[in-house]
Formats: sequence, C-alpha cells, structure tokens
Amino acid sequence: MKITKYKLVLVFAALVLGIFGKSTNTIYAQTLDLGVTPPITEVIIAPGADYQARYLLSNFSDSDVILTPKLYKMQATDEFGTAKIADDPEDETSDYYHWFSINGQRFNQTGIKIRTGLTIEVPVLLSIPEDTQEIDHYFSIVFASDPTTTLAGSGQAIQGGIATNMLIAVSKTGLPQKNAVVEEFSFPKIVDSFFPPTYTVRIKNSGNSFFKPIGDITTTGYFLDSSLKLAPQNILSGTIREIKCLDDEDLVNCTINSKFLLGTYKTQLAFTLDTEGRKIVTSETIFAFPFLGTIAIFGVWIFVKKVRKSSKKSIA
Amino acid sequence: MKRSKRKLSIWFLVLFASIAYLISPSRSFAQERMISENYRIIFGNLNSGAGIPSSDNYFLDSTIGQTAPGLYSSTNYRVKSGFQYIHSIIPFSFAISDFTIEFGTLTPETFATQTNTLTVSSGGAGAYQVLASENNPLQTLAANQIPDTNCDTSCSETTAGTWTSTTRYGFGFNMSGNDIPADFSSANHFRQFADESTAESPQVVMSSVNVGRDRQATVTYKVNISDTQAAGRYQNIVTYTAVPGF
Repeated sequence: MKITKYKLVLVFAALVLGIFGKSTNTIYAQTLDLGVTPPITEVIIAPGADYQARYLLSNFSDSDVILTPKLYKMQATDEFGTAKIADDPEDETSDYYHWFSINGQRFNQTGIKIRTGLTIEVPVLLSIPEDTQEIDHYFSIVFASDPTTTLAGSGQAIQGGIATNMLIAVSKTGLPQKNAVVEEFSFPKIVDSFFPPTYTVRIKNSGNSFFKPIGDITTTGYFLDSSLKLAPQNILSGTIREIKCLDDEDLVNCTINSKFLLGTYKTQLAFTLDTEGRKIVTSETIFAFPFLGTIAIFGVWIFVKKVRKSSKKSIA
Repeated sequence: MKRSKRKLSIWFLVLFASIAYLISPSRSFAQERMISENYRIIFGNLNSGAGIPSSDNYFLDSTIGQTAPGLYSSTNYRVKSGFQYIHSIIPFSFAISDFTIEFGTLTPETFATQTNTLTVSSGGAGAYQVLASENNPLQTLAANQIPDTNCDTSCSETTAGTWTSTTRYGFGFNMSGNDIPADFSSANHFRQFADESTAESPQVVMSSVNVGRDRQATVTYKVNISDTQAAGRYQNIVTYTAVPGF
C-alpha cells in the first residue's frame, strides 16, 4: 500500500503524543504535606519508668523532607479541646527537654528524613525521673520542616510543622488522684412537645489528673426512655470542658432523639471519671407540653368562630 | 472510495493516539491511600522488603508499635493511643501548597502579592489550630528592613485592618477560606505576622472545634515599598504550625 507523506506525519505525531503526552505531567508547586499518627497519646506512668511511644510520620509532599522534632509545653485554650502550645520550644535548660529522646538523641539535635510518598515510624522514648512530682504534664511534639530553600529575589521561605499531643500523668500507684465537679448541666425546664431540649454539659476537672467522663444522659417519662452517650473527651487538670455526645463515632449535640414529648420527664446526668473513678450523678425534671400546637389550634378555633359569627350577621 | 479510506485512516490514528495517551503510565506514588467518608488509612513503606533505612541522623526500628487506637499497659505505665471512640486510624495532616513565596523585583508604591494554601484534616476528636509567625520582618543581609505593615490606618499581628493605599508601605498577609479569624472580613483586610524577633506570640490563623477534612484557607502575602527603600533582596521565614486538639 502506498503510504503518503501526510499519513506518516500523522502516525509520527500520534506516537509522540502517546508516549510523551502523559509524561509531561502537570508541574507541581513545591508542596509540604505531612501527616502524623496518633494525634494524641495518653500516658499514666510511674516515676523512674520509661515508655517508648511510636509515631507514624507521613510525607505526602512532592519532595523529600527533613523534620526536626521539638517539644512544647501544651495547655487548654478554651472549653472545646483546643490545644495551645508555648511560644518557644523546651531547650537544654528545661528539665522536660531531658525526658524525651529519639534513638538516644535529644529533640532539636536530630533531623528525620522522610522520602517523598513514604510513611516512617519514629520511636520517642519518654523517661520520667525518679523524683518527679505526681501531677500531670502536657506536651506537644512538633515535627518541623527545615526552611532551607534559596529564594531568587525578595520573598518568604515557608516552614511548616505538624504536632501530636501527649498527656502524661505521673503516678506511683497508677491511680492518679481524679476529681470533678459538674460546672453546668443546663437545658430548658419547660419545653414545647415538638422541640426536644438540647443539654449543655460542662465539667470541671478539680483533681490532679486528666480524665474522660464515661457515662450518659438518660431521660425517662411518658413513652420515652432515652440515653445519650457522653463523648469520652479529655478534661485536663484544672480546666473546664464542654462535653458533646456520641452518635456511633460522630460528635453531636446532646439532643433527645424524640418527635414528641408530653408531661414530666426525669433527666439524669451520670458519669465516672474514666472507667475506674468515682461516679457523679445529677438529675433534673423537664416538663413538655405542645404550647405552639395549642396556640395554633386556639387561633384556628377563634378564627373559625369569628367567620361563623360574621356569616350569621350577614344572613340576618 | 479512496477518500473514504483516507478518512478512515485518519480517524483510526486519532483513536489510537487517544487510547495511547490514556493508558500510558503516569507518575505513581510509593504508597497507597484508602479513603472513605469516615476514615483514611495510610499504608506506608514500613520497612517490609526494603531493609531498615538508616543514615547518620536517624535509625528506624522495624517493629510497628502502638500506633493503633487502644490501651497498652506494662508494669510501670498505661497508655491510650489515639481517640478511643474513633475506631479507625485517622492521621492528623497538614499541607502547605507552596513553601517558597517569591515576589521577584519589588517596584515602589506598587503592591506585590503572592498566595499559597493551607489545608488541614483533623479527623479524630476534632479541634485544631494553625499558628503563624515570622522570624523577623523582611530584611536583607545588610539588615535593611521592610517593616510590617500598619495598613491604611492601623493593624497588628492580632487584628486585621484595611490596606489599599499604595502610599502605605510594609508587609502583611490576608486569609480567606475555611476556619479563618473573623477579622479577615474582606480581601483588603491584612495583618502583620507575629514577629519572633520582638517576642511576639505566634497567632492563630486557622482554627476549628469540629472534626474536619481538607479544611482549606488561602494566604495572600502583600508587600509595598517606598522609593527610598534600599535596594536588595528582602527575605524572611514564615512558620506555620498545625496543632490537633486533645
């Protein structure tokens, strides 16, 4: 078969496009994309003991990264579990700095290299000195990138860091002193039948150690036996936290799941401080009535009555 | 007949090229991700079949330890890893779309802007913060500085102000998108970065108390200089730190 020139050109162009078209990928900006697991570790540990934590660090960036671990003191910044870290990392002058090491090296002394697309395991050794006081200590370990990029002109080199939190309770017996006060358990005491109440639960940690409230809010009454599971969220020592409820694995508002309430209901908040602590119980009463429905029906009745009266007058 | 044969050949070649383009291999990543509505599990190259990586600076143990949510105990400690009521392993992740911001050559009384994007996924108990600061104002090696902006009237590292006048000089940033502070109420509202050299505390630029996936905010960096600004390359380091809740 006679192959014309233009057919050859087309074949060549098709081959070139097919082989190289996909290779000329989209040009990516220089990204920094990191992940860390777990985001929180809770340790109850005796003075003089060691614990080796293990973290998975992921580098989803488009290039290799070197991360330097840094230790920051951490505290609660609000009643919703938001962590605030200190302005500056702990250094050699800090006692806490010497509690932590990675393969025998202190934080700030080692760079962890992670190739692009890989996840690595990083072992962090926690060593509690023998004379440590039996109270809580809260830290954030920040894995920070190295801003070594050379800029051609004026501009910024961006440094990124990703943190994981560690809550440490030092206790010789393994049973640190825990205590709590119900700061608030509030909801409307009189509600409309079609608008079930939402409970607000705020718990204050008045003890020496962090805990999770394990319990629920039960509401019983006319054709209702509801139980809302409290979310086991950490409450740090000396702080107040507003506690949500749990629907399977989702955090939700503590709202009764009922379409209609009528009459008097008993509501009880009951929880323990973790699974082994003492139990705290408080209860209240709710009264439900279809106020809006009643007003609507009454309004309709008045309207109908007036219409009938008017029509009788007009006939007369 | 010849013309229709020719047309058929052309269509065949176009089809062949398209198929070749679609099936030719693209860049592949070294690890897989499994993603669903509720969880994301990351399987990395955790040493299996690859030997134990090492270098002067690090050494990795080959055992996979206590990274799954759960309770671990020994004689002298008890440990809970992860958020106990979230049964999947959900990493906390943070991404910055571009870690170099280049303004190039600055022109007096002409705004120069650049952007990048911050993305956070906080899938455990929710709640996170992203803190931002600069090591010092933009400066040259000779320590000539472009000061942090005071906007048109006033702004600081904690409170944004409008900045539209080209006779107001300095360096600042704006935020737009998810979970940003309320004072960034328009594209013309700018703040200074917290200046570490004067002991200013890093400031929150993104935060949420809720569980969130791929929460994204755009940072717009803006600089303006006067015609008396000394020549040079003005640079600094901006640090973003993402902290999960507890």
